[in-house]
Amino acid sequence: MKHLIKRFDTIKRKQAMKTIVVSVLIAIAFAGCTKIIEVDLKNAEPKMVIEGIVTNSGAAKVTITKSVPFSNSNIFPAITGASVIITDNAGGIFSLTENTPGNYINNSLIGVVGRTYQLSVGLNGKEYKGSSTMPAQVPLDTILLEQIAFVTDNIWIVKPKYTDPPGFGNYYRFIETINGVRNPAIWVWDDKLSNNGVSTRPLIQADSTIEINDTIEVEMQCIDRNIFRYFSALEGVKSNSTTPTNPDTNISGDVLGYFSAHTSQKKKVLVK
Amino acid sequence: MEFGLRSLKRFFTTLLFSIGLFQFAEAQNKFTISGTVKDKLSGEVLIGATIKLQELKGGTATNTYGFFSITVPKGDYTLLVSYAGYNTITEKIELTENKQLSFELTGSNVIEAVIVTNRKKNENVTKAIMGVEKLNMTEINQLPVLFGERDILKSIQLLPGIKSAGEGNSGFFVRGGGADQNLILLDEAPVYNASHLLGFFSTFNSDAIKDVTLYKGGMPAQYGGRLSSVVDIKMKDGNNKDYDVSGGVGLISSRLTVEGPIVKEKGSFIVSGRRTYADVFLKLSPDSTLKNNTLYFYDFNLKANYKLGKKDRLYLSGYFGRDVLGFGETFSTDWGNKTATLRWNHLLNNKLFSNTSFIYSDYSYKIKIKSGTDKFVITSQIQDINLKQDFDYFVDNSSKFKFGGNIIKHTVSPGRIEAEATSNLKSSVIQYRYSWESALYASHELTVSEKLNLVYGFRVSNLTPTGPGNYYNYDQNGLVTDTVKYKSGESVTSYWNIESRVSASFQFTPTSSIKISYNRNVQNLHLLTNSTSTTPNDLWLPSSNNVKPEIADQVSLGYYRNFKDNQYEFSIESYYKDLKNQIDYRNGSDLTANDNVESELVYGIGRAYGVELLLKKKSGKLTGWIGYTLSKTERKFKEINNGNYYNAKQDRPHDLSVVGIYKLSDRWILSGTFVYSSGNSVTFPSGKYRVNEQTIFLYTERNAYRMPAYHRLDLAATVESKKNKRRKYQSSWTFGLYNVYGRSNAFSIAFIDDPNDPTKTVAERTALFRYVPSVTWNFKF
Repeated sequence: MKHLIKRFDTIKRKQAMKTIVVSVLIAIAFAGCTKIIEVDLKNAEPKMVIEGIVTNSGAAKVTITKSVPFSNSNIFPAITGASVIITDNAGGIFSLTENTPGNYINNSLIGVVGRTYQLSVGLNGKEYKGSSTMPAQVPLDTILLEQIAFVTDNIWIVKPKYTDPPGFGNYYRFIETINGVRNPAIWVWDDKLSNNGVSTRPLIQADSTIEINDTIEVEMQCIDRNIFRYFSALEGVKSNSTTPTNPDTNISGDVLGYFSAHTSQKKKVLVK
Repeated sequence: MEFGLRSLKRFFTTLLFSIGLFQFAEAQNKFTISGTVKDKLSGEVLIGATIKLQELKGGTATNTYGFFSITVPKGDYTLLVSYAGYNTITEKIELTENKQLSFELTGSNVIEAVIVTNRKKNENVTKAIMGVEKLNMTEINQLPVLFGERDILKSIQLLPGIKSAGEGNSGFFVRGGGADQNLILLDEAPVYNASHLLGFFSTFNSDAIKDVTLYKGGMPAQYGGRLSSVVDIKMKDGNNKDYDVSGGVGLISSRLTVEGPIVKEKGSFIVSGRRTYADVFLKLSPDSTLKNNTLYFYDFNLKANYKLGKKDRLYLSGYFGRDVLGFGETFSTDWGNKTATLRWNHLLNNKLFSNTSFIYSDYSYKIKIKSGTDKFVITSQIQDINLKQDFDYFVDNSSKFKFGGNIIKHTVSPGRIEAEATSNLKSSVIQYRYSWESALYASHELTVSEKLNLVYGFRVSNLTPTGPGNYYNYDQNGLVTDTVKYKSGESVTSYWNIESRVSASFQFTPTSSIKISYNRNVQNLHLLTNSTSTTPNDLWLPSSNNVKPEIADQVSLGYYRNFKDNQYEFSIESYYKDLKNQIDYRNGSDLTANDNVESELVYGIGRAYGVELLLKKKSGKLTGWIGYTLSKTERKFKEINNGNYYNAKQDRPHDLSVVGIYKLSDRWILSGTFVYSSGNSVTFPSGKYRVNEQTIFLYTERNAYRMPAYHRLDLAATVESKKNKRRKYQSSWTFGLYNVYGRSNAFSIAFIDDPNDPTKTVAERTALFRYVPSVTWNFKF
């Protein structure tokens, strides 16, 4: 009997609970605050930087520069007087001449799909070598544009349309130019999740500046696996999403940079 | 290995022999006192309450289910049952036959209501086990915290040897291990991702938690599966005498708990829920896009238990929690854990306690993307089904065995993509990974003499990945060299490991002791995340033909000393840990929805060592502690840092924490914490170069720089409503201030173009929380 009474009491208490008025809350908005600070950084020994490309649509170019200490201005000394030679597996030997300081060019070297190119840079008795195979060209059909709501803004996204061929192992890189100004964003991907089919994967950029009446040019490159890895790593480092590191280069001799033989196609579109 | 197996055999023979022996021993005029110890008001069983016979050395303590058993020669004894914060029961007994006794302790009315540990007063000195920390829920509830959200995982970070994973983060590192090397158990079920809101809150609602024990070394043999630590969290059973409703309203979330008897004194239940309402504020925003964003989490804890008779009791507990984060219609993600545990306690006889558990645990996340014609959903999940059997065998007042085993089936779905036909991603399923993880263990707690205590044991563990599925072999560059197809249930490989666990204490004076321990831990589930912050997109991967089990060997040595009638505890512990088969990633690796994710991994070794000092004041008006850690942790991978040792990212030499709780009056409690730590190791650029028509930073050594030092003071005050004996209703207000002196602690440092001179580069620091006030209202009736 006593148990029953106590239980009844409990039910009453439960009803009392419903009448509790919850006190007013103070909402605090919090946001991170940023400040420029001094960080004491070491000065790394200057390293040689080689960036070489062979394409199916234009001249072969190799740029050789040096890295600088962090506190310097963004002026990178050119390395002049190097001997730069590109050979291919069809017996071709092409010598590149220094056009402007640090820029080596050969206008007659037009890359051929399926060929493997060897870069050889000779400087002060040392040789630096890299190799890259130009993949088959996947045709770029068209460039689509679309406006979407992204996070807190409405932004324009650019969607290159192409059809990925059967079989895995196609790697793509896209370069966007807005009114003739190159967008530094890096877009590379493989066909792991979109093999054998139409792709309209967008070039998304959270802080996109694209507006009506802008002219957008997209360059689509079919790249080899090493270059895909190089640019994936570069993108990871730039976006601060991984432990920072120097991307793995495909050039020997403790240098920075890459040597890529890739196909190149460009298409323009007006935003309207 | 040979030696290990042989000593293992000998160990089990001894164990079986002594179980057989006890029948014989009983005939020799020995009798057993067994039973349970509970809280008188709520009927909650008390874990670790001590039972001592004044006339004899040694004694025993209640196990996780409040059960104890002690076997001693026939005679007259004075029995003392005690538990910190409760009045000790003294009972004279005449032991002429086996006795079953149940004790109900009442909370003491002494002003020192704040108790720093639940343990027996000098247990830290006498017990062989080392590297163990027990936190009391009352204490956790009184510490100042960010936004006033009580958080057990953040409170344990104030102890030496345990480092916070970042500002306001519930992730933690123990003795140089990674955040994924902590085994977090909620009523025996592993919780794979113990954080809400990207790490700012832990998944544990402290209203539903009864007891937290953290092992950072000398893990008992019943635990296994992770390298660094075990956080064993026990949920409340629920009041089995009366109904209680309690809850709280805070700035970020509100909580409500209901508990009560199912059948009085026989069974009880507890249901506890929590939800945040930050999204409600978003809805009030005038910004239309912000309005459509969502950000919230909720969780539920449920538990019920029922006594089937004198010898059996059933427990059912569950947890369900989810986080939701969305940006309009474009992008949304949700993630969370589910756990369920069904347990059956059975008393085989008055000395042998059995618990059988059936445990389910899963963690999953979902990412939804809808942008124009692209509509797809990516899901990933890990699911465990675990059958576990444990025995507690209480031999006499100086010897106790624990033995048992378990078998877990892990099912990992690394990624499933469901895409609409218009999307450029295709629907696909990354193949599931199946594996069996099993273990057998036994450990023996022995009082060798008045001064020497021992705990020693073994754990034999196995991991067997099985089909169906294709398993790959890779070359140096991570390219597939060959593919082997396995049928369903066919084993791919099998890893056996023997994990030895030994600790000993030598008490050379009544108030001081030294302890030494060695333990090996093996980890067969590896967390893959190359992100620098806590993310919900965790991928757990079992060991396979490519990924070997991670192994850690740890030795530690400590000195323990109590002062002033155990009012003060002092300890100094040092450790050295050797790590094998550690995991890192290749440059430019892609871990999401990648069937060849194992090709992205590189393997290395690690080492960690340090000294931890702790001075604790356990009773009086002022309680608290000062903890200090000096430590080092390094990794070595052939592919990273030119193959040289480098600092792990959680490496930082100094960590100091000062915690104080002051009972001002019957109604007011003041508390404060101060933390200081050196910055974590980071990789900063040492130069820059030009590639791809942009400036790229040049890195030299891995983690060779250090973030600025971190320090912060937090204060809180709690006021309780006037006590009224006739009313059950109680309430309290807690006011807090986080980061009292508003230091801008660096959350991150990024290198950007100088806004004033784009040809230069500068460092930009982001600081998160400065002067964050909070207020929380708690009630109970």
